[in-house]
Amino acid sequence: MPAAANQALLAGELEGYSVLLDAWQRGVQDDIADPARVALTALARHVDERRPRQLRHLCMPGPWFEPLVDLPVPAFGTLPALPGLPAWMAVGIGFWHALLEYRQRVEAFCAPYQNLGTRTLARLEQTPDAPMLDSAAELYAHWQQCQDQIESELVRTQSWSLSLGHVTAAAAALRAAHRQYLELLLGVNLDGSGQRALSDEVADIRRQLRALKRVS
Amino acid sequence: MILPGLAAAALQAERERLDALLGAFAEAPSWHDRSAARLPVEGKASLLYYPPPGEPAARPLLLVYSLVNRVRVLDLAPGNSFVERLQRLGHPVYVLDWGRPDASDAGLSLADYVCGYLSAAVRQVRHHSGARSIDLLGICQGGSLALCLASLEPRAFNRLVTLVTPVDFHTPGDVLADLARVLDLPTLLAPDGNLPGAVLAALFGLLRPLRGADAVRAPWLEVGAEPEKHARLQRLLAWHADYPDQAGRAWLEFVTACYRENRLLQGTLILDGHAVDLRRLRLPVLNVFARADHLVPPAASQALGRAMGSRRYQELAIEGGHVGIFAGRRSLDIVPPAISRFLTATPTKKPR
Repeated sequence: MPAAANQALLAGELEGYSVLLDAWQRGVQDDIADPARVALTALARHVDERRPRQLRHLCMPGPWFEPLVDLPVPAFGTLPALPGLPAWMAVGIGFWHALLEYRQRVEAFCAPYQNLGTRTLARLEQTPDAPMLDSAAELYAHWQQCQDQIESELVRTQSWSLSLGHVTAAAAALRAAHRQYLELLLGVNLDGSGQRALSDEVADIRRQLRALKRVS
Repeated sequence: MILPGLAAAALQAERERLDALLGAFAEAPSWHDRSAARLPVEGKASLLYYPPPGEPAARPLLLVYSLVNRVRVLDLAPGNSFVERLQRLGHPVYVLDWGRPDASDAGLSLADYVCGYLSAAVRQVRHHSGARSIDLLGICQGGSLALCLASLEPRAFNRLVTLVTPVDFHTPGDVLADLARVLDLPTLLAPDGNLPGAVLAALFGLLRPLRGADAVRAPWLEVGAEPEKHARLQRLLAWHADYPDQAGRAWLEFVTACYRENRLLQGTLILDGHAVDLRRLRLPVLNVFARADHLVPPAASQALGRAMGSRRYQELAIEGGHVGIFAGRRSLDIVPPAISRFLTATPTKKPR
């Protein structure tokens, strides 16, 4: 793994802590009352805005789709099947529908994560038997623990699993529609069926060899 | 809640510590392969051999890890290595590296992995070490695969250890099983027939908050100036982000047979025409599980005891999470010595 990727990963892990420290330092410099609480509020706003974006990125069917999914395209509902439509247009409409369906599913999946930062802040402030915190790092660790608690409560619900199932199915449908569209435009076969047949055959030969070894 | 009141100097010091930590990651992590030899097995699978520092004090031990991640987490850093601890306790250690599947592997089945690769690895360990009987240690999904082979070839092994290994896939709170039920599995496969590693990375990324407070947390903020700790953390991060593609057919079979249909527990999993029956396991088994495991609930592992129905079954519960049990610094002081004691305990019958 290249250093930049690793660095980005760690920076991602510590992004919230960086936001907390920045706001805290500014609060101290500006001599405001209770800078730690102000910093926590800044962190809550950051998580409110950042976490749904992270989730959208995680659910993405592939890096290609990120700009495509964010395109400002109108949702005009389901079009009636139009006989005599040219193939490229029919496939294009199928792709369009898949894109709209995917967007709806992602929005539904991310909805329970709305205001996650604000809810974490409330949980943090209401924690009974709150630990004694002596440092910024300890405060952030406590924040992470509260945020994890809320997210794990979400993840353990049946509706979360169902919603994720819908997103992944919509992402798969979008990938398939996109491939179909490209195949039609480029006049090539991208479905990989030939490759799959070959790998099935290789595996089958391995199995036959194993069976032969067993009887010999 | 009383918030800490920190002076500007203390905050600045913390900011500098954070910047230094991020700066330390400007270099790519280095992975020093400590193995003494890499032995071929079959297909892309191979064995990494780690001899003990002196005369072997135990039988050869074959480590079988999950197909989901790479095996190098078992030898993370000198002084913080599961494999190294076992070596120092006198075990000749062989680690099965499944390799990185590509399009040519999409047709591999679960039976190919268990009765093909894993069985061939056992033969290679026997051949290389000269031992007739070896010990087997399976981790996570690798533990499930190890259980399959041990039940199909019970005479091949002397003792078996399973670590955070799912056996009952339908215990309450098993989030992976919940997901397996609702996902349309074949649609997740790429055109080449494999499951892209990125899909698994996203899935496990979403499940990370489940780790919980009792699990070993990633020690981002505890890492001081020590270069060894930086190196360890760098490798852990790099490992954590590295999900190889999964051979499509085997992945579908595993998720369907185990997570959906719970066939391993029921004794109805068929590999190469033979039913995997855990009641056939008559060898001594040590089952180690993590109390705060967010991926394999303790009850999912503990089901092995009931499934075996043997008095030769033992359990060891460890505080911590799924990965911490073999990569966490605290667990390394507990788990490898416990495994070694179990493996070198006086045999109930003469070793073959």
